[in-house]
Amino acid sequence: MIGVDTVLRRAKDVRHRLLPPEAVVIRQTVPEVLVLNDVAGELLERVDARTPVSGLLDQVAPLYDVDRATLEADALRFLTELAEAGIVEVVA
Amino acid sequence: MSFGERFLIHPDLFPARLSGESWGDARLNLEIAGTSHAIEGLTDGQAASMAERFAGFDSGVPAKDAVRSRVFRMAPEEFRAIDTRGWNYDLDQDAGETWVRIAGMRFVARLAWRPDLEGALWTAASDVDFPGVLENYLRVLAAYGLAAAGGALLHSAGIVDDGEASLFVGVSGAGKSTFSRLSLDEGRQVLSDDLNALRPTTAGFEALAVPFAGDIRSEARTGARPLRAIVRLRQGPEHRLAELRPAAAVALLASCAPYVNRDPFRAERLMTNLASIVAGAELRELAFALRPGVWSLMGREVRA
Repeated sequence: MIGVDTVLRRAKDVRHRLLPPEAVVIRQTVPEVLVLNDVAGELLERVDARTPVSGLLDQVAPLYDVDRATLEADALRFLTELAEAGIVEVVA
Repeated sequence: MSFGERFLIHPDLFPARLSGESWGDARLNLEIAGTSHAIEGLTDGQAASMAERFAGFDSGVPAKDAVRSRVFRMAPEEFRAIDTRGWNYDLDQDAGETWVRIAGMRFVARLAWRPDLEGALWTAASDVDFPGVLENYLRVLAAYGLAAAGGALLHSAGIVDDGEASLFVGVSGAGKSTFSRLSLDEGRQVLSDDLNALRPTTAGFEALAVPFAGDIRSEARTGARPLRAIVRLRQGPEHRLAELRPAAAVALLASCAPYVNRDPFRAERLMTNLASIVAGAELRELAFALRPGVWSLMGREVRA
């Protein structure tokens, strides 16, 4: 279960690139190539194995004209999907 | 299954250095996608069969900056016997920061950056089987060489229209060969219906044919054409052209960039190259039907 206190890292086989308004992710061990929406791409860019999700939201929030609760709900849903896809892993 | 086990009796004895016993003293000089290659250590028979297979790409004289590849003997009993019925042939690949290892049917190969790219091929194939083995090796070498040069080798149909090339990219079964035949019927040239090279230039990217087998023998195998468009290809009930988003285009190209897209040490570079390619090209998605007229649609909308 991913929450605002969860710390995440990118999986070792993941390479990604922001191409606003989307992002591309390559998973090399599967292999698989995915396209992410802008919010998921910006979050993935900032995942660093140290910053909790709340900190990622602090960094991403200024990019979007949306209230914090909506952004948090979207972010948790996207990050959960990225974790289920093996793109990010829970550190703590 | 660990690296090489599918093909080798002793994968732990994979050659660690670019050395061995040459097959012979003959050499072949090739020009592949803007890069000179010197293939050394061949028998006269191996060199002759390759010169015939790669006619039009034989550069004759060795270039000073040629990528050097040496060919060595390897005992047939080092390779596993493989029942190829219903089998999808895929090379084993392993990579490090300065090297790449490849294992396949009746050959192994190593690429190394010291600091320039060079390679070695160890094979049990003499004359009859050798062209197929060397072509498999050269596909890998070309893919890595192009990536290092800022470009990419891409599974695609490369079509020339009015002096410019467009790459039509799609998954297996998307219709690259069928579309290539339709394009020939409509007076366009085909670089290749299977693999095409993109290299950066001062003005963008150029497309080049590579001497690897496709279903269509191209009459436009040599020379470079400016890249016009990247087109995601699929078959449909009617001709229809749509926009393709940059991220979707990069994802498509990444999935169609063989060998390098599986290399964790070079994937970042590949992504950078593909993003540059996409930034300078028209991006479209084309559904095509099995009837004429598709290029009149392309002409109207791709150039708009």
